Amino acid sequence: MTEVTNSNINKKVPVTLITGFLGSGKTTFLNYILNENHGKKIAVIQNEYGQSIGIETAMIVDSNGEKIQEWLEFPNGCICCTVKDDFLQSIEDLLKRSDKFDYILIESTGMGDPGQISASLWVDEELESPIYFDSIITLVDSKHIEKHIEKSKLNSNANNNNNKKVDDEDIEIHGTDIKYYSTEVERQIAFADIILLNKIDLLDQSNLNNEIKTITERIKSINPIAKIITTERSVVPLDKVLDVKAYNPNIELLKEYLDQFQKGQNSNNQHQHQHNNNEESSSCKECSLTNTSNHSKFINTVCITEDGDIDLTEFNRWIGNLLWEEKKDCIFRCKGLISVKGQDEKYILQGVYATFEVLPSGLLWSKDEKRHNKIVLIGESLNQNELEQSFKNKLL
Amino acid sequence: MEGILCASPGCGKPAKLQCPTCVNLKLETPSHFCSQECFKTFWPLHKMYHQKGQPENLPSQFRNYKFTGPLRPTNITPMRKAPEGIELPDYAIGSIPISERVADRKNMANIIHTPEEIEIMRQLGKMSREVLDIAGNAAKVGMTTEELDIIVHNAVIERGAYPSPLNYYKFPKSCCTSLNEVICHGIPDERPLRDGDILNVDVTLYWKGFHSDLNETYLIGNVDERGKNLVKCAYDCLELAVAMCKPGTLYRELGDAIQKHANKQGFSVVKNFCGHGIGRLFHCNPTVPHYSKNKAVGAMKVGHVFTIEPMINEGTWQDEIWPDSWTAVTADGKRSAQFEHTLVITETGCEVLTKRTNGSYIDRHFK
Repeated sequence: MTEVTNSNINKKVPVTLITGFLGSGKTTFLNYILNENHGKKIAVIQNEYGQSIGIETAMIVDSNGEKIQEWLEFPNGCICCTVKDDFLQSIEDLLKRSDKFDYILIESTGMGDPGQISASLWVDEELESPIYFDSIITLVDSKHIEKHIEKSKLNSNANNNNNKKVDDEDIEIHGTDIKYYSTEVERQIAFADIILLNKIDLLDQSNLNNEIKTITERIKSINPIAKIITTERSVVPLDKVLDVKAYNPNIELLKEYLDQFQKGQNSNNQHQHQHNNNEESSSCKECSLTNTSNHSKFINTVCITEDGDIDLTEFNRWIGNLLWEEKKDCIFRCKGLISVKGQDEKYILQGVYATFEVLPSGLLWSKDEKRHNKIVLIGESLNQNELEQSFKNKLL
Repeated sequence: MEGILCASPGCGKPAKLQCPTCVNLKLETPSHFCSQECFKTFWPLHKMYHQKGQPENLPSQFRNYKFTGPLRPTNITPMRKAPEGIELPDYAIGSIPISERVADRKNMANIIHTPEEIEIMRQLGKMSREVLDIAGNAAKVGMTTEELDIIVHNAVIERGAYPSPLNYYKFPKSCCTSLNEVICHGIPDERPLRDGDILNVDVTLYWKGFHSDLNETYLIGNVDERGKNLVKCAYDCLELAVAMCKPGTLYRELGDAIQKHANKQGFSVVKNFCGHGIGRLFHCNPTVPHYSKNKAVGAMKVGHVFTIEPMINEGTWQDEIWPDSWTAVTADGKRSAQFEHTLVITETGCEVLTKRTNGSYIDRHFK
């Protein structure tokens, strides 16, 4: 009896976390979802600090003085509510409603750390929650992304007066402490499963392909495993970005991610050297040699590829030790294909911030295939050799 | 039905039959009879139990509540107070554990305790074990859980400690007593223990700024084979989990082993209640789930102090909370058993701070 049954993921409501910088088109994206006739019933949970949709949402206070969520209904069947910080509570309230929703979108504000929120949304499968965490989508303003990423560099480079002026205008437009701008934007890109490269209509149309190529490379240098989709005015076929099941142990999907990494790696192979935090970017000769240079000097990616088997417990402990001790708070995402000792199935590693899992994929290693491990780690100032050696020591 | 007497007044013969309506309605009323004759004679009175469906003096918040099993709440007596001179935790007066809330919001890291702190918890662990054993030895057919609570409360106070559950988020009593289908957090009340019950008593003491938490499930009178197996399984689950604890073990590994063992015996593991860090706070990081494939954060390190407290169910793992907002019962009304220790990670493994000092549980209950 009670052999714990794995509930069918198709009956569950997917949850996607939307992040994006101010001006990236997040508002337009959410408005598109709430107003267009796309045939889906979507519930949007918006952070109070965002207020981007610009709708007055009344908070109702009950007799106990507790706030009750009020859901605004839209003609296309979608609904929206604004919360202070307790996303999980609003999801619970949502699920108590009698009407059924196909999808839940959560907007995290520019300053929210997507890592913390996603960890709480990524509920253990065993708990048979009515929701599942689908993916993190990050919107990027392709017109201004260069500048956003450039900023920390410019701040430390007093010679570049002309550019600095342009930036000062930007500071006024966005009105936030500019020092944290680039870090925030890079982190949002680093955490993403899908990146919407928005506002391409605002780029130089005569040189569009080259511009997109440059920006794509820039993004891949921060996060080589995210799927990148170009959009205008945040309009994107929803099927392309929703219900991608990025956290399922799906080997095909993982292959897609890892292949993207391969491409990203090849196009940026001149940037595989390490930068230290205190290193001035201008002092890095390798970078100054190349035209576009490596701008994500704080965030980098390490890919470990090794043949052989590893003990599952040992592997969990190794990853746990990296995420919680040695590289605490410095690894944002990890994904990998793992060859577990004594198992015919391929195993998959998925991680966001301090939370990770290693699960069987359901697919077997074929006879003519060499059993191997491939692990991609995205984080801050990660050292390829150090991590590679550390992993090798755990191989059997 | 062994040992049960006929419910017909003045009959006194051993019962052989049970009223089918009572079984259907899951009533706890006297429903066993020695013969069809006795059943028929007593029927006009007996059937009144069926009409009521529920005991008369059910607390008002339970009106219209659909119980998952046969257990019903009874009267809860007014809250006791700790006498002057006992060191109080921060929630003892206002009921809100503010220090825990703060630590929770900051997602505080697992605490490494100093040898001095561990020595206090070692003494406290011994004291809390004494208190639980007193309660366990006292638990008998006919005694109420309220009476057990008085025994626990007094034993804690006598040792100069504070009974941690008292007024923790307004919990009204000094210990938790969880009967049969109650998974945990049962409130001691005036229901007498009956032959065949399984009863968990959960005791936590606060002393010199620290908490120590433990529980055991007791067999009351003659418990059926399946009930005994359930209790034994919960006991073994705790034992095997404790045996895994050493520096480097991930907290998430315990759940895999516990669930594997429980499932093998045909039982399920409760998922919505977990073990927890303990020390200056009653509950803090790490979270220690008892179910498999959990993504719990953290590896064990020397000086970590935490509880392991697997709750093992006869039927479904799903739970439901009574309208008293405390009592957690199984969603199918079948029984649940639990054991708990507080332990500290050492260089070579772990030290169970709440270990038995006076005979083994298995010797007392299973031999």
